[in-house]
This record gives sequence, C-alpha cells and structure tokens, in this order.
Amino acid sequence: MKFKDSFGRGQLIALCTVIVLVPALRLFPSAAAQFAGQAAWLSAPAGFLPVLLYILLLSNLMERRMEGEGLAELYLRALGPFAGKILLGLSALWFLFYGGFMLRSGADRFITTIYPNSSSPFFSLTMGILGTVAAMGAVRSLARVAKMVQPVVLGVLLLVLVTALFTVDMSNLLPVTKHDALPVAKGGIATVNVLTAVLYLVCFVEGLTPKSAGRARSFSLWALGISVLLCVISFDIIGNFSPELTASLTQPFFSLVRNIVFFRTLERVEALVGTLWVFPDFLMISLLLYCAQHCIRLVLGHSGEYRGEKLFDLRRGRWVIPLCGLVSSAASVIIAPNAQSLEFWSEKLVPLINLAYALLFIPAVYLVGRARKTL
Amino acid sequence: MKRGISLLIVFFLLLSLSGCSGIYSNFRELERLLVIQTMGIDCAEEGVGISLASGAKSDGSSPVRLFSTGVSITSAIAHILSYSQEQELFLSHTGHVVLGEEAAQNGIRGYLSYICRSPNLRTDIPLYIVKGGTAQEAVMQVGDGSKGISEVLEAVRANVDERGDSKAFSASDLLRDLERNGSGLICAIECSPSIQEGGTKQEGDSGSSGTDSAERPDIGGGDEKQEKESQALTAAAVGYGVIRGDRLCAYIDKEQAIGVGLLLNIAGISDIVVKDRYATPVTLELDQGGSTIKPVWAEDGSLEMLDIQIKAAANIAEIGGGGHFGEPDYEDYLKAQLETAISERVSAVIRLSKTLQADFLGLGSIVEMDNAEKYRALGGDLASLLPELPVRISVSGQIKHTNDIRDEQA
Repeated sequence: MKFKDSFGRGQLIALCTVIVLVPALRLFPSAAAQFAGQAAWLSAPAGFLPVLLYILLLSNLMERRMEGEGLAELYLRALGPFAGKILLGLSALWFLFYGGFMLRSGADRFITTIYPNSSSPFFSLTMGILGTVAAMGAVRSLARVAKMVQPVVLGVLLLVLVTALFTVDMSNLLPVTKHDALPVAKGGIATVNVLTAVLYLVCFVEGLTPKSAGRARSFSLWALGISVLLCVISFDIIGNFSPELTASLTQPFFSLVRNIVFFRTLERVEALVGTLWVFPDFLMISLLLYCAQHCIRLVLGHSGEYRGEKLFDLRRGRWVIPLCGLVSSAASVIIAPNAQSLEFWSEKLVPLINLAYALLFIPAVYLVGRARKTL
Repeated sequence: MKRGISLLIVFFLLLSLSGCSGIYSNFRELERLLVIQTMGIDCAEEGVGISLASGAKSDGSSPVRLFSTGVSITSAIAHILSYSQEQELFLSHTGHVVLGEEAAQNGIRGYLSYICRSPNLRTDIPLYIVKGGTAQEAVMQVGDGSKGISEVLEAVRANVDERGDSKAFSASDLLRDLERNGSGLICAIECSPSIQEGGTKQEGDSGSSGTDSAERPDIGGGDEKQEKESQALTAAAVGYGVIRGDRLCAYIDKEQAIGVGLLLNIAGISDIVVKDRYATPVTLELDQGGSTIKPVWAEDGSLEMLDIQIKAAANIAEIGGGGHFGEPDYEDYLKAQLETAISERVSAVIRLSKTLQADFLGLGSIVEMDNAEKYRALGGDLASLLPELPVRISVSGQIKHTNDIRDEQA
C-alpha cells in the first residue's frame, strides 16, 4: 500500500500556532521590555506590519510551487542544482543548530521553573530522542498532534492570561508617548523574529498540503491573532511585574504563573503549565529535524518525504534522520554551558541568524528565481 | 508484536502514574515535608540569619520554628536542614517574608534578588519589617501554643487590607518601586505581648529545633520582665518602613499611615478621634477616601507645584457624651475637625517624603502620567526636586452617617 503523507492548511496553521509559543515565551516580553519599557506591550502589534509584508512575499513564492513542492524544492528550482544544494546544506545546518538551541533552552526552562538543580542534558537528550522518532514518521502526525493539543495549550494560556488581568497595575503600562515609537519599533523586532521563524519553517512542509487559494489571507489572519496574543501576554506580564522587573526575569511568563492563585485555593500551578510546554517543544524540535533531514536528503539526491517506511528502515537516505537527531542533541549539550551564555545565544546570536535567514536568504532566492525565470 | 509492545508501554505507564516512589524519582511523601510558611531574614555576624516557621499543625501542637546563620540565605537554609530533625524543607508555600530592622538598614536588594531568583518563592510574596526588632524574634517567639507567626501574619495582612493603615507590599512591588522611584514602602510590624486571655507561652514553645539562640528583648525590668516572658508575643502592623536606595531610612507610624492610604488610594476603614466643640471625644470611622494628585506646570515647562485634593467620608462611631446635631454648626465643626486631622496626617507624610528626598509615594509616576514629555524634560527624577517643590493639600470631608441612634436635638 502506498502511503501519502498529506494534510490540510488548517492543520498546518495549528502547527504554526503551537510551535510559535516556544520562541514567543522565550523572547516575549523580556526583549521588548528592555527596549521599550512601559510601552513594550505595544511591540507585538508594532511588528505585525513587517510580518504581513513577509507573509505576502512567502505566499507569492509558495504560489509558484508545483504540486508536492515545498520551500526546499523551490530552492533547487530557483537557484539550480549546485547553488540550490549549497543553500539546502546551509539551511540544514541552521535547522540542526536551531534545533540544538531549542533543546537547550527548553531544558533550561524546565530547570528554571520546575526542576532546579537538574542537569540540562537529561531533558535535551530525551526530547532529542522523541523528536528524532517523530521526524522518522509522517509530518501529518505532527500536524494532527498540533491540532489536538492546540485547544489545551491555548486554553491554559488564556486562563492564565485572564486570571492575571485582574492584578495588572496600569502604572506599569502607561504613559505611552510619541517618544516611545522608536523603542516600540525596536521591540517589534522580537515579534518579527518569532513569527518569521515559524512562517518559513512550515513552508518546508507545505509541499504536503494541497495547493489552494487564499494562502496570504489565512496566514495574515493567523499572524494577526498571534500578534494580539503576544500583545496580551506582554500586557499581563509587564502590567504585573513592571518593565524593569520583566526585563530582568529570564522566564517572566512562568514567574507570572507561579504568582497566580485561583479562587484563593489553588496555587503553584507552574509545574502543570510548564509541563504543557513539552508539546510545543516536541513539535518544534520534530519539525526542525524533519526540515533538516529533508534538505540533506535532497542534497544527497533522495526524496525527503515519508512514504510509510517502518521506524528502523534506513533506506532511501533515511539514515540521515537519526544522524540529524544526534547532531542536534550533541549541539544542545555543547552550546551554552551556562545560563549567561544561553542568554547571549537566546537574545543575540540565534535571533540574528534567524533574521538573516528569513529576511536575506529567502528574499534573495525569490529574486534570483524570478531573474532566472525559474520561478 | 505491536499489541505486545503497546501492553508493555501501558504497563510501565501505569507503574509510573501510580505514585510508586521507586519509579517516579520526583515523588515526595507529604508527611515528610515540613511546609514552611514564614521566612525571617536578619543580618548576622556570619552573613545572614534565617528563621523559618511552619504553620500551626492540625493536631493543635505548636508550629515548627527553626533558626540558623550562614554566609548566605541558601547556606543558612542548608544548615537548618542539616541540624534539624526534618527530612525536607518545603519552601514553595512560603507566604510571608519578615526582615529584621538591622538587615533592612544594611540593604535589602540582595534579599529581594534572592526572592525573585528562587524557583521556590513567589515574587508577589508580602514583605514585613520588624520595627525595633529582629526577624528571628518575630518568627521564633510570636504566637502561643497553637498559633505561630504564620497565622498571626495572615491576620495582620487581612487587618491592614481592611483598615488601610498599612499594606503588605510584595517583593516585586518593592523591587519595582526601588527601580523606578528610588524608594518604596514596606509593611512594618511590631512584636509585643499578646493581650489575648490564655495567650501564654508553653514550655519549649520557642525554637523547637535548630540552633535557636534568640533572647527575649528586654521590655521591662524585674517582675514585669518575668511576667512578660511568660506571656505570648504577637505581631501588629504599625505603619510602614521607608526604604530609600535599598536601605531602611525611616518609619511612618500608624496614625500617619492613614495619610499614606489616602494618598495611594488604598484607604480602608480606620478610626480617627477628634473633639467636638464641647471638647468631647468623637470617634469617626473613615470608610471612604482617596486623593487626586495633579501637577501644576509653569509656562516654561517646569513643575510649579503639586496639587493634592483629598476626599474623605466618615461615619460617627462613638460620641463621648452624646451629640448635638440639632445645633446649626455642630456637624460643620466635626467636618472641619475631620479635615484638619486628615490634613495633618497627609502633610506629615509629604513632609517626610520631602525631608528624605524619597519618592516612596510614587509621585513621579503620577507626574509622568500627567505629562510624560515634560516629566522626562525634568530628568525623570522627582525625588531630587521634592524638597523645593511646593505642595498644596486640600481636604474635603464629609460626615456620612451617625449610625443607629437618634442624637440629641437642640
């Protein structure tokens, strides 16, 4: 029986929604609070316009794909086999490195919020193994998991945000003046960073969804919803903690959860909420590993998608998948041996590479493809 | 094969979900945890003195109290654990942090940083300062046989929330105020003998374990001292401690704290005793009150003055010799007395703020909210302008109700 790995746009957007929560709660709103102070809660909407333009660019690019083509296949078509394979190799390296960083920062979140004095390799290696197993299967399983956990994760998030609204101190959020425009715009870079990463990542698996009209509209609405969500998250956190304290906390959202008391009886639920973030972590890592192996297998001349192979079937270049898992897991152990260096990676290096990839590489591919009339 | 593997997985899942401690490594027996509800911090020769108290136990026995010193909070807690009979100290439900006066005078930023950094403590944990005493005294000695400092502080917190003559600001509140305004307030408590009948200390009630070396403060001489030693201590809110920079620099007493409540719009139901025109004491129960603070800007953009308008409404709770409400000016006279009393309290607080050059009331934020651009042009530091800044205080009082008695008519 021939297996066809495919899923719909709704599931793809659910996948976007769940995985965006990983970088969102890592970068928001500490990064924005550092730049914009009391006005930082406006940074999320401030980043929406550039994200919208980026969605239009990506949608224009993806509308030129043929049935079954994702972004990786478009690279090859736009740049030709040689340059295309070099870019695919670089992309795979970036995804493996990003995956390693995600494993490391996810482990750090566990240590900071739930399991102090634990060892980060335990968490990152466990998640690395789970992600590798998932990457060896169908992407549609990931999309279905996303569709299933989305209401749970968003429901808990909304419950926390609504509860925290009651303790917001408006003096932490106001006044906002015209002088805040530039710092807010600077804080908006974090929004661009968070959303662009997810937007281009899902393009690599978009070949598994049927082509249909209205892509730009669907993703624009999604980005609008996420911008509003990020705005509310920032509003709650800064409103409760003040911009000064928010900027100095490494996990302000989970500190907020730690402070919440439901109906004067239920408190200290941060372990439960923090554990839920295993799902976004798992989906993000799995997707990154899938994208990395897909790029490498294309470079090696194989087709990257899953065709119903058994878990330990390593033919058709599938041996690359455990190797990718190994590299990412090893990267997670090697990079950022302490919290200070993790902060540097999280706030400087990774966002910089991500922005360069999203805003330089992909538009360059589009322009070259258009110039060569291959797109 | 698949079914076999699935059954195996389900079997192991059942084991791991059943609470078997051998499989689930993070499992902890509730009975073996000592749930700490109050933490006291003092400075000590070695570095830090930490006092910990659990809540009262359900069997009526006294709470566990522990004390030790160390070079840091963490090492002091580790020392407590090593030298007590407890298997594990559970700090996640710590509900109160008490600071000794000397510790606060030496600087509290390190302690605040510990609270925010610790994965066990909440950042909105309320802080208290022991006026004229140590946290060790409060944690180890307050309470009787069945209640400890944790229960007493719960009562203090509920009381100040209702009365508005103090407020238990949290660690994150204080940290924010210190960052933004350079100064902040902290709820001050005082340890004094309990007046509750039967509130006598039981044998061995203080320092049930640990290395308690606390001595009862010398609050009297001879027999009086002995009598008080046998009497249980309690803690009561006595206004605020003012933190400037990161050090305790002054106190605001309970009377003046009503002024703070009105200025911060957190006034509750508190009593003010005035005299009527016949010199009879009248107890007014302030039940509504708040302030509007408006900065007055000069044409050149400088801050000319702060205009503070207080509105307060009170009920008559008690009149020494009966009221004279039939007299035309009697009520006006009482109203004027109320306004004077409030004005005195608010003025005293503002005067202290000016003298200390400490914006513990967050006036800077109010000015910034009014006109952020002009405020930023001032340098964003109201505290340095405070000594020279004129402040106009106007109070509008109202006697709302005389309660359920028909007062004597003229």
